[in-house]
Amino acid sequence: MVETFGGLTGLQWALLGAAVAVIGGGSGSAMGITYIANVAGGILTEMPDHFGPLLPLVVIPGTQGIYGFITGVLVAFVMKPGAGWDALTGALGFQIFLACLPVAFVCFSSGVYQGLTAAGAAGMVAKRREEMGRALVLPALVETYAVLSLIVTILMFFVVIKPAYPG
Amino acid sequence: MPIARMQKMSVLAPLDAGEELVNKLHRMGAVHLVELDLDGGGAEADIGVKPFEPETRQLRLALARTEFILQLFERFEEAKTGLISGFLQQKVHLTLEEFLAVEGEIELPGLYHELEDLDIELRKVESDISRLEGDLEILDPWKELDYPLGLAYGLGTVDLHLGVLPHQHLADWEREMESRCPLSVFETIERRAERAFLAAAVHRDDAAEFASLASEFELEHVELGDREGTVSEEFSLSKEKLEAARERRRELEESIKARFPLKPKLLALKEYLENLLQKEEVKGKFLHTPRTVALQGWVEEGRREEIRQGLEELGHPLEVDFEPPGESEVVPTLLVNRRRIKPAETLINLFGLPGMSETDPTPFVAPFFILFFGMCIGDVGYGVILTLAFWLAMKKLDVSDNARRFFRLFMYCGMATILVGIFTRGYFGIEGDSLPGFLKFPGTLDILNDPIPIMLVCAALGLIHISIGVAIEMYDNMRHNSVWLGFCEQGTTLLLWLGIAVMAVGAGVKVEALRSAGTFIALAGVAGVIFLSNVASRSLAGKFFGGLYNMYGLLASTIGDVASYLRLYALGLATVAIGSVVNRMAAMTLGIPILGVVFLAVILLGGHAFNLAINFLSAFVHPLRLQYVEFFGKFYEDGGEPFAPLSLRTNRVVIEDR
Repeated sequence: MVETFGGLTGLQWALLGAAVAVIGGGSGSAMGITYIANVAGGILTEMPDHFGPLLPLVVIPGTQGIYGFITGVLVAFVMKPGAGWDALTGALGFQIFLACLPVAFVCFSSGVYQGLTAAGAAGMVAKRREEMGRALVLPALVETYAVLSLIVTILMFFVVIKPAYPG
Repeated sequence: MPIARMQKMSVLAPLDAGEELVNKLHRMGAVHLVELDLDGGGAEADIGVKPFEPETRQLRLALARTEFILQLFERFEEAKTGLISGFLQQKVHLTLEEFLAVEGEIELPGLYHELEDLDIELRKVESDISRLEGDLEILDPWKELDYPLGLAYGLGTVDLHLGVLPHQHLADWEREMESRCPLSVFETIERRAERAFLAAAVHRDDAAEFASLASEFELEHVELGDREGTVSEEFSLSKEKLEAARERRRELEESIKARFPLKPKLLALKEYLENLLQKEEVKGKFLHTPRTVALQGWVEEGRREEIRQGLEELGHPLEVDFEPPGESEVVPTLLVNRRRIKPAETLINLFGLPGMSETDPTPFVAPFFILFFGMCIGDVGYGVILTLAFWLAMKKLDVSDNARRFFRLFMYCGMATILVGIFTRGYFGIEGDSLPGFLKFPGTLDILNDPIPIMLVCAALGLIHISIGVAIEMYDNMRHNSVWLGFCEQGTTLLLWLGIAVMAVGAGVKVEALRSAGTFIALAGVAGVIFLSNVASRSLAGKFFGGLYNMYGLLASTIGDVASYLRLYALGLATVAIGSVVNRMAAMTLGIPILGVVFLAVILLGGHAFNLAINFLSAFVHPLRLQYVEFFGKFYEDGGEPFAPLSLRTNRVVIEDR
């Protein structure tokens, strides 16, 4: 009989956490990229030669999706107990779920808002192509918080949860 | 001396030497000319001092004609579709002599008029073609109407009406026509796409009833215009005309394409004319009297004698003076760095040049940018690919010097990626368990399973990086104000950070003495920040409370700044994690018979290419942000005006023997 927590087994909690992280990060990135890609598309119809400087802006909000993805991968590959998933208790699984939440929430919102910021920066590049350097830095400011959330998630995995592991 | 020291040069010369002077300055390419102002004093007016009025009309006309021809060529060129070749512009390699003689090699007005005529006729033919194509489309459904249109529209008591009706209303229409327009007939000429094409011969007496019937059924009226023959005759006629027009278009395009071999010369001519224009426009910055011309500009201090000699070679009586910049003068900024660091100047230019009194950050930006880039990817395999790719690009691609400098920078970044990869055991994302033992020598880290050591390394690097920023600000402060102020305002911060660092190292290596020494240094730093950092304030309370506020700000910003460097770890982990997922996915396909190997190759190549591409971008943007926000935030003030001497400027022309 596998020990459960709140009605779910450890594996179920862990999968839920991984799923929430991937969904949050991925949706945030998708929405963010949609904003900036719409703006970039508009600019490109008038100035097709701006593709080079606009492309980095379009892909910046993609990193949140990657952070969500990394969290999912870490849960699936690294958090697997040496003795197999059945060894994961419901309570430990619930901890993994909690540790996934920073990425799930922050990557979602920062992805969306980074897209909005990048859209503003795209206008800047359209008017003054040479301002590309500064234009890239502004949306990168938003990403700081996504990075911080990933770091906290990882710290929770490795510093808090992993040492308490069975086996 | 990374920012060149400038001196202001003033030249007074005979008016008739003006042209030669400009040519010489243009060839030397060492003087950033500035505008001489008339200060409106009486003496200037008395001796007739006036600004030059550059004569640019003819040059602009010639330039506009050259650009017109080049744009015309572009319209008919086959676009390059290759990933790399699409980005690269065609370059023209010439010797200086060939470049200067290019104007004589092209008879521009004749060529322009020839191509302009071709272009005008081409546009006319193209509009004919689209009109004829429209005609054919309209006539096509009516080909079965075998009655000459000229007669049909000219009958005395009967009018010909053509119209289109939805197919399903045809039966109703037929019934209504019979009962309401008994003197008229109609025929269905064609049915296609759910539509019926009708021709009706309507007697004058039925005209009113037919009109109301047509509006009830929403009959779409069609006018075939004032044509004489039958529709099929008209159709063939239009088709012949269309063929002829298309043939003519092809001939015209061929005539334009026959001129393509002139393109390199035209590109050179365009840039030659731009240089002439630059030389002419710069005269607007000079002043002259009836006999003399005066000009002023900034030159590098070290090149003064070379420039004086160069000007004296002209053989005119000249007055050349140099003087150091005045207090309030805006001096242009020229960064002078050694070849190895020079590529990083591009990063400074992206942000904005430093002011003249600032320290050039290039020597500090270069190594940290390259190292941070390496940490963001941190994989030997990817590093080798990047190094080779950018080395090849630098050697083989025909690009500008600026682009080549960028390639060099990324080549160094690739090397850093290899180095970091060795320490983080990154080999195409292969997981630690599968790596051979000799790659896991002591000192290397497993960043996937043991994140704390690498995070500490990132935080330590961050602390070092921002300390250098504060140290530069302290140096500037000491240079411009006083050593004491520099120590109070920035030195105390450095003391605090040093204490924290020593404390951390002491705790790490478990040496109690080191730890307590660190504690003392840090406490001294705290006291320094609180009591000294706001030393410039007038009141005692201002000094203390200002210092207390500074302490709070410093703590908050230090934590924020150092945490920001942890992104280097997160991005490095992203590379490893995606790489290892690609490998796992590829390994799953091995079980598939025969095709498995193909899938394996496709997933490995595509997956790793994607991983490298996405992380390459992050590895560029994030270290740049660390430089611009965390590092520059400590000391940097931009706003420098770039040093832009009057010189031979080319873009797509490469002068081989410059």
